[in-house]
Amino acid sequence: MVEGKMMLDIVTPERKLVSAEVDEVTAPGFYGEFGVLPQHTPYLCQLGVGVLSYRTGSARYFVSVIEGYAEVGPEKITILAEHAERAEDIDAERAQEARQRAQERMTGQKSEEELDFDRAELALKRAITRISVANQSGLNN
Amino acid sequence: MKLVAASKVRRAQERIESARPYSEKIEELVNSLAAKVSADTHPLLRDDMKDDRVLLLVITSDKGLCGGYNTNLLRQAFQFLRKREEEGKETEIIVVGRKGRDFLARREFSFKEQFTDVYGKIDFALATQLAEIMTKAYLEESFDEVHIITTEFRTILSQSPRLSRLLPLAPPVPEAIDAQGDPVAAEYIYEPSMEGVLDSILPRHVRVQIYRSLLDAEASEFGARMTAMDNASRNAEEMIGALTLQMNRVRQASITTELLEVVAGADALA
Repeated sequence: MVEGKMMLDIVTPERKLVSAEVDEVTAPGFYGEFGVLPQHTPYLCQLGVGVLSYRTGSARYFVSVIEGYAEVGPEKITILAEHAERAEDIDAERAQEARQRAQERMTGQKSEEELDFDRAELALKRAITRISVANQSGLNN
Repeated sequence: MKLVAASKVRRAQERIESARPYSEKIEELVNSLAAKVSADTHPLLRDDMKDDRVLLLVITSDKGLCGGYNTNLLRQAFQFLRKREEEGKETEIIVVGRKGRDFLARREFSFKEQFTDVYGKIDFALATQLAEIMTKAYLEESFDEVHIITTEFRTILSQSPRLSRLLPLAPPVPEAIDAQGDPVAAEYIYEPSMEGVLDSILPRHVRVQIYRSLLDAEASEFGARMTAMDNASRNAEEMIGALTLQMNRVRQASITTELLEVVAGADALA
């Protein structure tokens, strides 16, 4: 372990997505975004839906995260995400379509059940997250 | 067919391995959290000991030609169900795979749900769907016990049925936590709170366990098929050898008889 760095592991039920030595991580927490630097105090956080980013040197990477947990230790941070995708793996067009569908559903069926609305809202949130991750990586390259 | 199964078993094995870090970590967190709260704090941990309705998830394959894979599992499932029924309990079944459905339908068990044609596209979404049905059954429909029976994948050559209780979640064994030797875990800062994290992690734990069971079953099926097909090829080769030998003997015998007849005929003329 290089001094002043920490290990970041991002795992999903389907695979291990990222395993890297990083300088800094920001993640979407339950109450809002939080940042972690090496030597953080032990911290266990439920994650929401949003953009996780990490920095190694001057390179910054983006990952979309949908629900999960972050377990933070002084030298190691483990992200257990229900879904996670690296920016370069995201199909921006599909995400756009998903956003459109979700929006239509939300505006279309006002009289429908509450559950459907919540679902559409969640889908919209996911789509927006994925789009913003995909865009950020575009700026980076 | 053996080679097909061999390549599939390898892929399935990789999937199990890539799912492992997540499920192990979740399990670790659940154990360390559950150890700190009493079982009454969460309905998924609580065991009200009434035990009169039992739900069993049976995971079998869609296709046959895989040796004793389904037979072994179904025999155990059948014994389990019979035993519970003898004890006067009501049983219901969720079945995955055509083989299990056919077997249990013939024996007139009642199905709650059935899933067929899921193999080849097992993903976390399916596990989530199953978990929702089972958790709902446990929390709202007065099932007091939820079990899973699946085939555990140990190695390519060894698989065996495993019956485990899914709900209520088994209280963690204190030694197991000590053995992990993680004193840091006691001093976490929780967001939103310990109870909040526990609340959301328990349903997830259920999903992960179901997902693992499905992956195990899939890999086991291919493993069992590989062994079965290997045996079948070997038996066929043996049979071909024996039959070829027999064919040659018969042919030779008939040639010998013909020769004898020719010679005898020539002798008679001379």
